[in-house]
Amino acid sequence: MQTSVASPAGAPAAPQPPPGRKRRSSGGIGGRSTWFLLLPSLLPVVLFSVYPLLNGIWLGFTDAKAGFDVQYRFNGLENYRQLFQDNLFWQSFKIGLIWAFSVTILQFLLALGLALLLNAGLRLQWLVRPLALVPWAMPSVIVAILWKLIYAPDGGILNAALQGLNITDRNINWLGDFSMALPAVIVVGVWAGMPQTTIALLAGLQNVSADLHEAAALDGAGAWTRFRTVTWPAIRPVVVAITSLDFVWNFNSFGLVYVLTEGGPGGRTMLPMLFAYNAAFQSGNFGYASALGNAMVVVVLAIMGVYLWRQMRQSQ
Amino acid sequence: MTRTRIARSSLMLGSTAAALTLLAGCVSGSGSGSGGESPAPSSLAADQKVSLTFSTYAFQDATVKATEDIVASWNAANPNIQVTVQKVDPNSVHDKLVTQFAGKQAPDIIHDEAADIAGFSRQGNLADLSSLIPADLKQQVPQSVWDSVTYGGKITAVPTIAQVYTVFANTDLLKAAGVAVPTADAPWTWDAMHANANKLTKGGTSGFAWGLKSPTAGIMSTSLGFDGTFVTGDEAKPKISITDKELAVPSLLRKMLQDKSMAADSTSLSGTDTLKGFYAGKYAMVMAGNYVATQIQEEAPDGFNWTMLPLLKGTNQHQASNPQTLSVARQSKYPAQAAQFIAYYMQAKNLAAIAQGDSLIPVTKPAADLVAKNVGDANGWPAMLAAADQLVDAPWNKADQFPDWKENYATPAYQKFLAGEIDEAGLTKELTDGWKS
Amino acid sequence: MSIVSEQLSTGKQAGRTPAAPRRRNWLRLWGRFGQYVALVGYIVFLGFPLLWLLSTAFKSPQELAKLTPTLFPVDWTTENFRIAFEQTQLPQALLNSLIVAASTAVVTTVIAMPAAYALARLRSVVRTVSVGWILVSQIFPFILIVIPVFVLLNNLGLLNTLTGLVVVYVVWALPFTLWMLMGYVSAIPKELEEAAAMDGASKLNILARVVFPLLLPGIVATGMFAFISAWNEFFFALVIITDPAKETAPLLLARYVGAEGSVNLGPLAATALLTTLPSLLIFSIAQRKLVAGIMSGSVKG
Repeated sequence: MQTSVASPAGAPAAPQPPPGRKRRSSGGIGGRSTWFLLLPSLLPVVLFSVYPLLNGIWLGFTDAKAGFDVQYRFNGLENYRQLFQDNLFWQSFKIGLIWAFSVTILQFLLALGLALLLNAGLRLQWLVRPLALVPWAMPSVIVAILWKLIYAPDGGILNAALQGLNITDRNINWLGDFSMALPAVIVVGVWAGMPQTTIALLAGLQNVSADLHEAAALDGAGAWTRFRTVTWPAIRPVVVAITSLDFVWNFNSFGLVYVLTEGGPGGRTMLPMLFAYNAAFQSGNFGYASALGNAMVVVVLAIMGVYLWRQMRQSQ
Repeated sequence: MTRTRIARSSLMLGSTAAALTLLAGCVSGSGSGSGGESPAPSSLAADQKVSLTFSTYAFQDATVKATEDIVASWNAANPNIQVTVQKVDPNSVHDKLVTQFAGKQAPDIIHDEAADIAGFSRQGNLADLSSLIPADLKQQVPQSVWDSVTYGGKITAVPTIAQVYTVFANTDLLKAAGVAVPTADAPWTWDAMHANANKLTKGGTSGFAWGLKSPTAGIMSTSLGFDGTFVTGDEAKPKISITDKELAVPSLLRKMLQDKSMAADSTSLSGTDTLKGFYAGKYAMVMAGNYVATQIQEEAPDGFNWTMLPLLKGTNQHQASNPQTLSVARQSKYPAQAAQFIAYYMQAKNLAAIAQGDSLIPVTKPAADLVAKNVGDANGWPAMLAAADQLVDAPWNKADQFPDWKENYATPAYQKFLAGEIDEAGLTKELTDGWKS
Repeated sequence: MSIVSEQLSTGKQAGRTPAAPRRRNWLRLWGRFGQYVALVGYIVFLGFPLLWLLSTAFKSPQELAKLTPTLFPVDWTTENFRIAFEQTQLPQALLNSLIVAASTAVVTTVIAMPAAYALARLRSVVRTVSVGWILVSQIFPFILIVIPVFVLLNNLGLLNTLTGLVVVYVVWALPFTLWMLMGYVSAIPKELEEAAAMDGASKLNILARVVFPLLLPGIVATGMFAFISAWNEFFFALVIITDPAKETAPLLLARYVGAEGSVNLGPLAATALLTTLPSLLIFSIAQRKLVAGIMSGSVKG
């Protein structure tokens, strides 16, 4: 705390270098130094990430299958021809999009609210700050089990609470009901992802200029106007970064839902990643599973592209 | 027993991995060495030390302890063949093995279950133990159980302990309703169970409950009691056939759900989630794997009286043989020594300790006798131990496409059927079409 | 610290209120009230599962098997903690997790920081390629990457080592670390750097004295991301680690979950609580660092 107080955040009047050494470049950076800055990250990526990733993508164009001494070969677009006719996959793809969009949007709205509250200098901070991190601190194994207990139709606390408050008079089968299961797992998904979004936004809020806020307030701007004109533009890059990351992560997640419902009932919570996992680890269709992965990359990348492009245009 | 994540056979990315290794331009490191036809029992110098790895998913405290004891006593008696234990949770065995086989780093001795090793066997990742199993051990296990671990003529695993689906009954509630507990000589038929469930259904009590969140394993296994074999023909590529025999169990369940003698909620619970309602008298009888007996003993309230009933009878009392197993990786350098350890593990005293910890049925006669002596005739155990004779080979477990069909078609179809979304014709269609696709 | 900043801000408001019209005063009061209501809502939503975990950890097996659950144990028992301490290599596993997670967080942020700055301020094909790689690596199902990574680690002799685990986690955390840090760098107005440059500050100086302090909350947040992703990771740990002495906490916890969803609930809850508390503590400290910026912000204002 001491150190951060001492460091004049944002104060441009940092100690001056010897005079007379004026730099040409201001915002941009030159070629050689760029590579120098990139090198430490580039090394592990090239060594450990590029190869497995390219390999995974490549397998999507082969007939790789499980087997001890089975050879596999390039089969062009055969996997994709099959994929287009795979109704089960597209059904799960639809579920995956509903899941990813709902979770990401809800997560963002709730986390933004929480981050603003945490930044507003209220009492009870000592309690809320650590609580905001609970979903993170709790091991994922236990997250799913706890929520299963909460949702349980027999002896579940949620049903007990709702009945105690006279909201319902019967046990609701949250995870087993055909129409209730997806919303129920979405709530868990939102809960589990709250910390990352809250923390990211809270960090973003630290650089919102207090001066501007002050000035706007003196001009008589209401809270909403101040948020829109001062806070939002300042945190916008962070918002874009975290929402896009959340979306990708949510689309990619399946562990939580797997433990909660195993994709059931009747396939209502079968996320596409779960589908790809089944194809690879269960059925041994490694080539086909990779093709599913590639298809997901293309679609999600397209969604991201549109989103990022629009954000970039709006910010200009 | 059927584990949530594991009850899937198949997969091996062996070829992929081999090719990957080439692509990576790296030479495979040391480790367990690469595969090849299972070598003849190695002739080792008398003083050469061999170390074996043994991965186990034992998770009940008593079973973990029993496993550790077996390994410790083996290591003490065999200074030249040392076994080290690797632990894995029951829901991750399959995933870990898939990766380990692909990377040629599988443990020498592998604890898994029959349904799961079907795929590994077919893909040639497990050693053929036919010639390594001692003759007396061969005789102690029923042939029908050996059949369930024989793939394409090769025995790739030694069966250890098995489960059956059985009815647990609250004996106080049965007494109050004037329902007599059946004996092993005169077991209930499914219809008798239905009739008695009706008698037991009153007030807040449902006569019967079955945690069918993952419905496929339980329904298919019990369908064998009506001779429902689901598939016919070739071992690896059979044809599916859904007849009245295969529909008998689900139809009966549907009837019970309709007349409320079976609790509707229970169909979406997992196998052990019905127990709370069982203790509380909400369910008079629950169907579950007999292994839940351990859990009941641990957590049932004092004074709760219960028993396991003899297996329900359709046209017979058959259920699917899907025992836990011990296998040897084909890439192991010391299959003979590994088989020696397995034989030691299978000794009556050892296997009995393992079985009792898990409340499962040892598949060898001597171990079953020992367990019988230890547990006496409380809670219906004698009938359970006799059930080993009712275990028959489940042909679908050996079909290539079974794991895929089970996950993507059978499970959703049964869930929809039990929830009343589709009828018998719809179920038949989804099961059949799914197999063909 | 939060209290200090709170006093600062409320003090400021108090100073202004007399001048404000009465209606606005009421409005502000209602606003505050609404904020507290929302805060309580968050407390319940976020905290309830923790409370439930706590309560579960102190219940006996018989009580956990009851059909009508109670919020608090009727008979408190510490038996579950006895089992948790007695039967597991929990301390070792927690230590392993801590080593792996902390190494991952430090290594990742240190190597990602310069790269993120370069990428955020750069407009060239390098940036496009990097962004593309970041996104693809996060979208492509990681499950399909596990086996090639396993083979790679095997060839390098890194299987069954914590080092191997750290290597995997660093590579895995790098994309999102870069991504988030790029966002934070972009949020820093270029004008600040340009002003410093006008004043004759060297590039390195600008980075160290202008960019870094402003980036600090973002770095802390991102470091926490990397930490937690390593702390909670299960699948890679599952396949890479075989020696029980090198197991991380998630592997240990998974073994409390048996077949068909049967769970040794009491001891699992106790163990989970013991795992949750240290990480919660670490996070709370890190978070203090993160919101330390509020302080400098209000000082500035």
